[in-house]
Amino acid sequence: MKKSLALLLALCLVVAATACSNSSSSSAPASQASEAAPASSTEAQGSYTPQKNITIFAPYSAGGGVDIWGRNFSAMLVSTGIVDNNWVYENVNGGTGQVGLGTVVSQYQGKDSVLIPTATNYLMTPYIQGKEYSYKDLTMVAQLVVDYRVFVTSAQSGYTSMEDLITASKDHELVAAISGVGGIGHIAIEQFKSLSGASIRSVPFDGNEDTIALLGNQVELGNLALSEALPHIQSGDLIALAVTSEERLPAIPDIPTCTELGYDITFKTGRGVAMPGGVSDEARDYWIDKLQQLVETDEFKAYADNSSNTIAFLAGEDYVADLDRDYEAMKVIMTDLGLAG
Amino acid sequence: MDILENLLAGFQTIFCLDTMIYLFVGTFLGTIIGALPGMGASTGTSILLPLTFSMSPLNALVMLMGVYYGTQYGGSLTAILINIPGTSSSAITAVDGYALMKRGKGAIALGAAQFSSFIGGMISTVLLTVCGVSLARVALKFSAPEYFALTLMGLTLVSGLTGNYPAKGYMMMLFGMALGCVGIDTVSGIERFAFDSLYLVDGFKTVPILVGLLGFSELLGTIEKGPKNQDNQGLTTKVRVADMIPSRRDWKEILPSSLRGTVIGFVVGALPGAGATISSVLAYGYQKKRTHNPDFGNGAVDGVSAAESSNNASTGGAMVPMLALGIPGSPTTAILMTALVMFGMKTGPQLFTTNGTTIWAVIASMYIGNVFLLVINILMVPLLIFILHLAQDILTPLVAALCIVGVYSLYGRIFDVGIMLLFAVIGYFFKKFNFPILPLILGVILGPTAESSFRQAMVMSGGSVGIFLTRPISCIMLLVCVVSFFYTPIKERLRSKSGQ
Repeated sequence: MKKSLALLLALCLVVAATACSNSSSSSAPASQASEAAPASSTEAQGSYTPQKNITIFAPYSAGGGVDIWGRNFSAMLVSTGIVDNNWVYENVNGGTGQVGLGTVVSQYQGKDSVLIPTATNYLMTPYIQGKEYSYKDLTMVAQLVVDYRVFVTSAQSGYTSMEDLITASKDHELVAAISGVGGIGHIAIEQFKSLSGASIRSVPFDGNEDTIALLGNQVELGNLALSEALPHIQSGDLIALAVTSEERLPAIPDIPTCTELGYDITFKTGRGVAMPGGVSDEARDYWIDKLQQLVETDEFKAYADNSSNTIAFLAGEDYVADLDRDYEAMKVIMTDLGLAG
Repeated sequence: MDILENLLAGFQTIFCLDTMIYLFVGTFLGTIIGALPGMGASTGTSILLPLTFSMSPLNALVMLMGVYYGTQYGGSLTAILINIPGTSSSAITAVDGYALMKRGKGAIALGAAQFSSFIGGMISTVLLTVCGVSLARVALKFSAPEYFALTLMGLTLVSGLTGNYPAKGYMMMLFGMALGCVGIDTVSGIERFAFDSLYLVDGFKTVPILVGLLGFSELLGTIEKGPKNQDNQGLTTKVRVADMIPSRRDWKEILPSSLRGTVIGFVVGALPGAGATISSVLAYGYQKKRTHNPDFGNGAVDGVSAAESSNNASTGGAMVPMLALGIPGSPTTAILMTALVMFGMKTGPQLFTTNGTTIWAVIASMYIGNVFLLVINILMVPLLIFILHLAQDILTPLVAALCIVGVYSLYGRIFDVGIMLLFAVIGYFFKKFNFPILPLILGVILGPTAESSFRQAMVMSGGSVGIFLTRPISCIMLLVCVVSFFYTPIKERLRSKSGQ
């Protein structure tokens, strides 16, 4: 009696542990197949109805920016009543999205019950550096928002404009903070260095340590995503020097664009949604339509506002064309800077 | 006083049934998530995040926070009972805690862990309430040079933990640091030791290594001994709640060590780059210098309480940069900040001015949450011990299954399970040949930060080593390193001289 009770309790513990892990990790392909039914049953000619259970596959670990974006847009699709699917979240982390993209290509090709949250960076930068996968392996559905970059310095640094920094660089090498070698911030600062001739050395940090270094006036220059920098700019802890958008941004209208200052530096990070390669146009168009409805809701607008993102809806082919343009531009810059693989 | 008024208003806001229920659910889930090896606060909160969108902002935040600091309570349960750290910050707790468990004193270890967690949690919440905002500004003065000095302080602890053969201890520490060199290097962007494997590119993750070295290798030892020679003293005795309340003599050890651990944990937790794991290492090391317990490292109650109080205090500290400056200092606080954004709150320094009521209510809930957790954990211990007692005969495969599932659930990669098994074997052999595991753990945890912050500091200074000495904070910490490194040998030398 004791032994069977013990066995039962033990089984419960193990089942509980397995159950907890299923929703955030990739289970064996066998169980995944049972949750995402074979695509052939829904890929009817001409009309597409998604299954009830849709997998949101993020090629990053739970809790990171890409994962959170995936959870956010999917949650908002349901809370605004646009769809009523059940979301199954899956995360496969590694190699700046490469392991995840590799999983999509090898396991989910053609499956139209998978949505993938996208961010420009992982879609092209590793590929330019010589890695295998990029946005070309996916079916791009739509871009929803963009985040521009802004050059900043600490309020305690004493600098108030780009010119101040360039003058200062004449008598000492400037110290800049970047987040991730080869990341967008790094590329932006390298571009500024080569276009302005200022002497700068960049300290590579991880994650948001660059913001922290800037706030503490440990470095003199940084290039951050607007969504990350805006709260600190508004509180006065950071001073914005220039933005990388084509036109001045409504959130900080007094700050010039890089182009205005004479530096042709235009970067943006787009966030959107994709599906695995090989899905039907009907499936893609279905989700384009749903996402279009989403960006028009008040709830999404408030979300974009709060996270200081600009709504910039690009559907299907337009999204791909925009990515192609960014890709070509990025490739040139990275090759010049010696970062291409 | 403004602060007191705000806090009392916060208490008023949360004293309604549904908020209390969510607080209870959050803390309860946090305990379980913390106890399960592998899954930690960041995975738990990110899974719960979408579920909170339909809740009111207050309830959602109260629950998510409850999960966050709850994991630091739960982590000690499995660390002490079966030598598997539920969170990497309870790895240090396992050292003394499991040793006590094997000697049949598991109840005291568990009781000490829960009470010191409570002390750490409560006092750090008070500190957060009172001086959170000002501490945030000071924390910004910490940058790469200071982080190097901080981790160096942690590594010099090895000098006191090497046992009879210091060379073995240092070898293990360097081995641990070498393991941290695998993967993409932050400073250069180059892949090191990746051998074209997409898995190695990300480096070895700490949790699989810790679970393998500590818990799983223990299982291998158990299997070797065979079913007849088990010394399951700790599990044969049934534990009552009364057994867990520390005696007066125990309190003499627990109280001072907890207070020290709390301060260290809160301060280190408030530093954006350091978290619960580093705080528990530093608090443990400091307690080692101050302890009168000859068993320290082999089953001392104050070792458990120093580690546990600091890892709980660090969650209160981690709230400092998040609330005061809008900077997430750890993956979990990043998720909490996302929750704030989703609920329409502006993160950053204006958080207190624009959403003060909610934030003060959340802070108030932390006090009550800690009380809930103390009760939950104290009651859960006898239940867990009962289950383990019943399952004694199948304990080994059960724990093995738990480890494997837990490690897999981290990132969804069999690779991590493989790493865990590899280190289980490595740990088994190290124990056989009397190589101390603790310096290896210190090297794995602290090595990567020590290396990258040193090199970041060198870039900052343009190549001059003087930066460590010209900056006051790092200079002081480096002096502490030097002193603590030479403290034990010099003390021994003086003692033997005066003995003659």
